[in-house]
Amino acid sequence: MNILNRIVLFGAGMVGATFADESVVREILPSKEESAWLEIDWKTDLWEARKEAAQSGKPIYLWEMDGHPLGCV
Amino acid sequence: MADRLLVFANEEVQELLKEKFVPVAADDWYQRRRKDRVGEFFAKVVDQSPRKGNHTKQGHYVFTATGKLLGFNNNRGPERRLKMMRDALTAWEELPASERTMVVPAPGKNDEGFHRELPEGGQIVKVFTRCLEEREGRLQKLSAEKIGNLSAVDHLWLRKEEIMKLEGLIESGGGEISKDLSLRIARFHLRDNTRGEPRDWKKEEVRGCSLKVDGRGNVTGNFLIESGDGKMGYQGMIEGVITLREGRLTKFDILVIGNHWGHSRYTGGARPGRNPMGQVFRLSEGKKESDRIPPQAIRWAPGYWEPEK
Repeated sequence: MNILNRIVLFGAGMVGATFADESVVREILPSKEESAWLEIDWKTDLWEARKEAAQSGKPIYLWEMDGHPLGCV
Repeated sequence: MADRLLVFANEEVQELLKEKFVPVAADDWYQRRRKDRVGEFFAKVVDQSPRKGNHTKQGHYVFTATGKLLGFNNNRGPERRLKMMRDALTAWEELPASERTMVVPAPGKNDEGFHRELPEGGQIVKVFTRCLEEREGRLQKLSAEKIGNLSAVDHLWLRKEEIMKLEGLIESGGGEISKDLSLRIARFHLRDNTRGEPRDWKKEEVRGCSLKVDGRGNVTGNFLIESGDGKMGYQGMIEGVITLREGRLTKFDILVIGNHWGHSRYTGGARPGRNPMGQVFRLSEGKKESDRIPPQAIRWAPGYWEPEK
């Protein structure tokens, strides 16, 4: 870890505002508004969705992205 | 990420999805490659859409359990999406009952090359990442109009034997966390995914990563990760606490604060220079399907589990 020791990690302001401060954690976590899309009961298995659609008499809505839409970014 | 806030947080979209549809989300990287019944069914749907013949199959599809496509679009914004959903529902209503449903057979064996599951006894840690800026003397999320101001999420997977090893380490008074685990965290989870899908760090780009736990479960660490040309990197400190009981994690609270810089192919729009970024690791019980999404980096499964490869 010598290389890390040689490098100044942060400006003084940042260090004072980090680990002991729970407010930083709150800033990082998603807000209620940002989490609203999770109020939808997303399934992640297409075959299970197909079975439920057949049983419930509903069509399937598929959100397909390169990188999982629920957990990549 | 824009869809999450612009479309799927929209009350009308939510109401329609909850009442009239079976919503499902999937990673196209796996799904378009699967050589099994799931992959065949998906290909049948895609071949009726404008994505037929395209490399990517990304988008929003509405279809029946029998595989008949009723709607497709790949536009952002709730209005066009709502129109597609309503048009698809109209098409659904016009279908004869025999085309709406069927007896769905068993899915058969998964194509293990393109299917990932948490190993038995494993546990999930959610990893939240957000770009920060210093305002009023403290670190805060970026103001709303800035690119990449949203909190991103990924998942760290831990194997049963790694969890037990952690418990043993703490019980013995602490020490350096195993290289496999610290390098997995560094290569695949200490990264900026706030504007898109980042590339994995190469082993040699992790120029330093120290992660220690003491006998009370207190975690400390620091790291420097940098691309060979120095154009992209992340340097910071790690602090937190891990608790376990009878071989199971009961807490995994980690805070990472650092400076990040640069971008990779799909994460353009980074702020110029070195800027603060924060990450929070939190244990998940994995009760919701959205908690059990595989780590983004586990596409290359051998490398994820053995990051020194």
